[in-house]
Amino acid sequence: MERSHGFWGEAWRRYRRRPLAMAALAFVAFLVIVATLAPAIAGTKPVLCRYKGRIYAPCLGYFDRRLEPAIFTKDKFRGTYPKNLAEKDPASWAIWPLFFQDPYRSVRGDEWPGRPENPAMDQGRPSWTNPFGTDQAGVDVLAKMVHGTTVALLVGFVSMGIAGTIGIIVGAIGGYFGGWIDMLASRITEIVMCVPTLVLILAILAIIEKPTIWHTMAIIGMTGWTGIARLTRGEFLRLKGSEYVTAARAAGAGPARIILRHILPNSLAPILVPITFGIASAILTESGLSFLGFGPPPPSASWGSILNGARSNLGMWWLVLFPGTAIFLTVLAYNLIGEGLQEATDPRLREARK
Amino acid sequence: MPLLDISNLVTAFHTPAGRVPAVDGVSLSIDRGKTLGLVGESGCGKSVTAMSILRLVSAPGVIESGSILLDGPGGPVDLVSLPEPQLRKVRGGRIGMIFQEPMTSLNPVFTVGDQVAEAVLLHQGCSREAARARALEMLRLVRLADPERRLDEYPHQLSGGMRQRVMIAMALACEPDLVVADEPTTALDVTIQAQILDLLADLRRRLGTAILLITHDLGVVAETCDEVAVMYAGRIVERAPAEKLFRRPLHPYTIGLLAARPDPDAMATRADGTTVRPRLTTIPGMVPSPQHFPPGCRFHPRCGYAHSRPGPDGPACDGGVPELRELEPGHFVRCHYAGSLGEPHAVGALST
Repeated sequence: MERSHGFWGEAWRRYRRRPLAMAALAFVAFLVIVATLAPAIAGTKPVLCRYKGRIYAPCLGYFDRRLEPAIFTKDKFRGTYPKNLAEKDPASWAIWPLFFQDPYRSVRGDEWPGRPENPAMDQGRPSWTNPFGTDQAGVDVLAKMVHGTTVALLVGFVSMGIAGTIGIIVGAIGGYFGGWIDMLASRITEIVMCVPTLVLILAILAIIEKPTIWHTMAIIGMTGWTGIARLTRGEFLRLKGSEYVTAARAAGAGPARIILRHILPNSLAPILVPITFGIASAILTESGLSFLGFGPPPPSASWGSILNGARSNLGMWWLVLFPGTAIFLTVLAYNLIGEGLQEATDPRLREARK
Repeated sequence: MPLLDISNLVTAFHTPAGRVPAVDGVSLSIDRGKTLGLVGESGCGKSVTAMSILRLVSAPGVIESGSILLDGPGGPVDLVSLPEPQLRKVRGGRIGMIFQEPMTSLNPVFTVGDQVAEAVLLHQGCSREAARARALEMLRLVRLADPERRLDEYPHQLSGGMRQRVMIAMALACEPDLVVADEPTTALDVTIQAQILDLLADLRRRLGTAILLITHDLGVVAETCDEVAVMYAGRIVERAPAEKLFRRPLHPYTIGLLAARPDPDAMATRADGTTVRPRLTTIPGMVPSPQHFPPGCRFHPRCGYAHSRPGPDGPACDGGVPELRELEPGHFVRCHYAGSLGEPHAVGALST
């Protein structure tokens, strides 16, 4: 007899049989790798360097400026790492990112041997030096996109993390306890459902003095949980009368244990599906906001803000094509994952396949 | 005092169509180590009685009155009024429960070992390893084949009989004083039924656990029970030691139930001399719905012995509610005419 791995093992086995869903999962995994390794893929700061007898990792400055060793933080130094390292310490060495282009500034002509200055405006069409072209200010689009991957992924995960947590808690409490508690939870859900997300985000970003990407994520999360709450409530209503929940009660389990150990694991599969679709729509919302110019402020790059650059320069088609394709593929990937998950965990479809 | 003493339990469901008293003044008692069979047709309230004991009746069902006294070291406690946290200690700790549907009573996402171990962990402050060891011990005790391997398997990998063994292991894991078994064998094959009943009887002897066995199967009762209570339309109609009840049933309903059992040896002779199997005897009519219980004795519309007017020995059957009388020592009957029923007549044509 084949050893079974329980519900999730079975679901994974069925998921694996869908090539499109697997490709989508691979694509998201690829994005995660790109996001984590972004400073080593594209940048102008050494991944690792030896300078005056010590080893440094200046590329960490891309994650947070404070992580860049203080010895390099003067703009004069940071601007031209290759020249300065060699001039001030002939014995120094450095491991450079795969692709020498900076996501935040235009690369000058004298920075890297044999590399010309980045063109700007409509001169910046794709070339060998800048495969995806450059934007109005001459910043390399590929570098911007590599570093913008983090934002795209974070928006999805953080906002749906918030939405999932709120939605599951509200839905679980309403569905399990019923009565006036359910009434209250359902009415709150309906009220939040009426709030137009985009307008709320625009309003709040206008109020906040220094809006960051985190504000956007928090608002998307705090308005996007209604569908999840409704679904969770339904699942809890269905499962709380099930025989194994009664059996657990008869064994002396309290409400917390029944909710967390007995009902939630059994209702998680259908809840994960809207969460996955939610990630896709959160990415779209963020891109839309950035496109309209309400995205993260300039230093941090997002795919949507690259699109924004094309708004005033319609001739720069590369500013639309590459980030647009990236957004499209990512959203498509999440939708395919959600669909795969749905088919893999749906008990009706499962039995039909047997 | 007995281990469990239920008196005048009333459990009603408050539906939009009105109050439905599924259990209407049930009194029962079970002594330590004994087996009480609670028998009745579907819908007579026997499962609701079982669920009421652990207060598992869910809304809109409410226990309206009565008491359920569980005797313990610190004196008897009333489960009807016991606060929820203490009640949780009783559930699974002092009273275990086995359900009818082994296919759906186990949580599909956890392994068998986890579920039995959870029952242990809930009541005994021990480590996970100790709980797991106890789970293995319990699976051995219920004679599950290959327990080491089963411990890490999921419910869907087990057959119905195996799952019911796991349920029994869960119910007995904390060595309860009482096990409430709600139709534990109804969903199983006949051969598996016998195995499970043997197992229950064997465990009762070994662990000294009292059992409340709820069933509609009189054969099961005859094999396993010390005492039997027959329930009809929310009330106990007859209660007696098992052999007494089967030898000489006194309530017309019980008489009808026993007569309705198929007898494999019975043969009827036809006019032409050939023998055929006789038709099965049935009780005419239908079980009344709880919203429309007949007045007086609730069985009288289906009873072949019913009297429509006060007779020489008692009142009319559709008049006053008959009391549960002790006709012989230990033999209780809820019938005005029990013991002097006379000849049966056609149902509906009430004699005077």
